[in-house]
Order: sequence, then structure tokens, then C-alpha cells
Amino acid sequence: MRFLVTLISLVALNHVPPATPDPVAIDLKTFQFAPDTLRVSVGTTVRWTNQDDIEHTVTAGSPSERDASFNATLAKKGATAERMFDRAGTFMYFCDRHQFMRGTITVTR
Amino acid sequence: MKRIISSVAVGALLAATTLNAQNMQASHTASTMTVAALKAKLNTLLSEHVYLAAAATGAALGSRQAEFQAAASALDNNSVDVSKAIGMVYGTGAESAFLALWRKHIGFVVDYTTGIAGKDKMKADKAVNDLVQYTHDFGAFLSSANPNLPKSIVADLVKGHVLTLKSVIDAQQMGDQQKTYWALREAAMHMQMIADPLADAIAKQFPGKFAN
Repeated sequence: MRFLVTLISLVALNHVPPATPDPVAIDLKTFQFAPDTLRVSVGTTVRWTNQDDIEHTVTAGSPSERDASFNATLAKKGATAERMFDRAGTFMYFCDRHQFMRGTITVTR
Repeated sequence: MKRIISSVAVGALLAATTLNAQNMQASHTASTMTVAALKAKLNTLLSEHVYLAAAATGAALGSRQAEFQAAASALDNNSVDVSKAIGMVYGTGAESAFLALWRKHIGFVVDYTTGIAGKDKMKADKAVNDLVQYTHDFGAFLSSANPNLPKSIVADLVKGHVLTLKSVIDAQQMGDQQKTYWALREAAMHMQMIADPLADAIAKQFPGKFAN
């Protein structure tokens, strides 16, 4: 009986799903993305957190060449947005309200 | 005659700017500066900002293109110096962000000036709205950099700057010289209300960097 319980426990342990890695953090602070360049592997989730007491956005592309792939409004201090990058490439983004704020994420396999 | 006087005034302002830039190169770094020196530096830079902005708007309203370009160039040099002062304390990233933000308000002032010059009320009104919104951005920037600077208080102080400078531009547009220079002095003096609390807040945030 004890053997059976041990066996069941081991089987159960083997079926625990792997822990999801924490998102990689980017802060929006003093009107900057920090860090403003980031290199991650495919499947990584990035989380942006607004540390400024003003509305910012995280908008894909550049002001002159927008990309509809993502666009989040971080309305106030503490607001967050997440995106999982499921393919390799270089992804530029900016704040639509303060277009001098720019960032780049390089996603590798 | 009017043009010559204005040119002499702008020439004097440009000379002052050059001297100021030279002084700044030889001046203190953050680690050796006193609070009084920081206060003096910020007061000089911010009052210079007002005088150069008024020189630029006066030239623009008088359709003196060469003078406008020279004044605008000197004004931008001043903007770079103000940003360097911020960068000296908060780093190059903040310096770049501050410069971009600071230049935005100058662009809105130019919009207001060209709006009233062209009797384009819609353009002038939009510029005023943009400037009011800008005061919140500016307050948020400084409050994010320094928790001793509440956003709403900074925004109100910058709103004072916007309004006092608007009075100068309106007087210039009316051609009222007495009122222009009275308003210009008031606008320049108002900058002390921004420079002094900013210097005090920076010194409070970094007591090891600024000696009393």
C-alpha cells in the first residue's frame, strides 16, 4: 500500500507542468523605455509597466511606419501590458503620445 | 531703426549665450556643486530661455526671418544646456527625453505665434491646448525623476511660464512695446519659481552631491 502511494506521488510529481517563466520587465519611467533594447528568445512574454504619472502607449512600429501587431494604452502609473513574442524578428515600438520614446525587442530562436 | 535695435538686442543675447556656454564648460560637475551654484545655474538657464524665446517670437511676428533663425538657434542651444543640466543629475537617457519634451513646448509656442500672426484662431487655440497638456507631461517627467516634485505643483508652475510668455507674445503682436517689456520681465522672473524649487528638490534627493 505504501509502495502504491509512493508510486502515485511520483507519477503526480512527474505531471506537474513546468513553471511558466516570469515575464521580462520593461519600465516606462521618466519618459523612457528601460531597457530600450532587449534580446529575448521565442516564446518570451514581455511586460511593460508605466512608472510615470501620465498616459503612455506601447505601439508597434515607429511613428512613420506603424505596425498593427500590438498597441496598448497604459493610462496611469502602475498600469501594465504584456505580449508574448512567438516568432523571431526585430520588433520596434514607441509611445504614441510621446513619440520620442522608442524601444526595440530582438526575438531569437 | 526698430530692426537695428532688435538686432543689437539679439546680438547681446547671443553673446550672453556663448559666454554662458563657455562658463558652463568650465563650471562644476554635480559632485562638486553647491546648492547655491545649482540654483544660480538653473535660474540663468531658465531666464535665458524666456529672453531668447521672446527674441524669437518678436522676430517672427515682425517677419524678420534672419533674426528669427538666429534667435531660434540660440534658443535651441539654451534647450540643450537646460537638458545637460538635467542629464548631469539624472543621466543621459533622461537628458535625451527631457530635451525632446522641452523642444515640444517650444514647437507649441511657435505654433501659437504663427497662429496669431496669421490670425488663425483655431491654430492658436490648439497650440494653447497643447501647451496646457504639455504642463502635465512636464510635471509627470519631473515628478517621476524626483519624488520631491509633485506633478500638480510642477504643472501649475509651468502653466505660469506658458501664460506669462503668452502675455509677452500677445503684447508683441499688438505692437505695445511698454507692455511687451513689462511682461517680459515678469515672464523671466517667474522662472525663479521653477528654478529654485527644482534646485532644492534635486539637492534634497542627492544630499551627497550638492553641498550647502
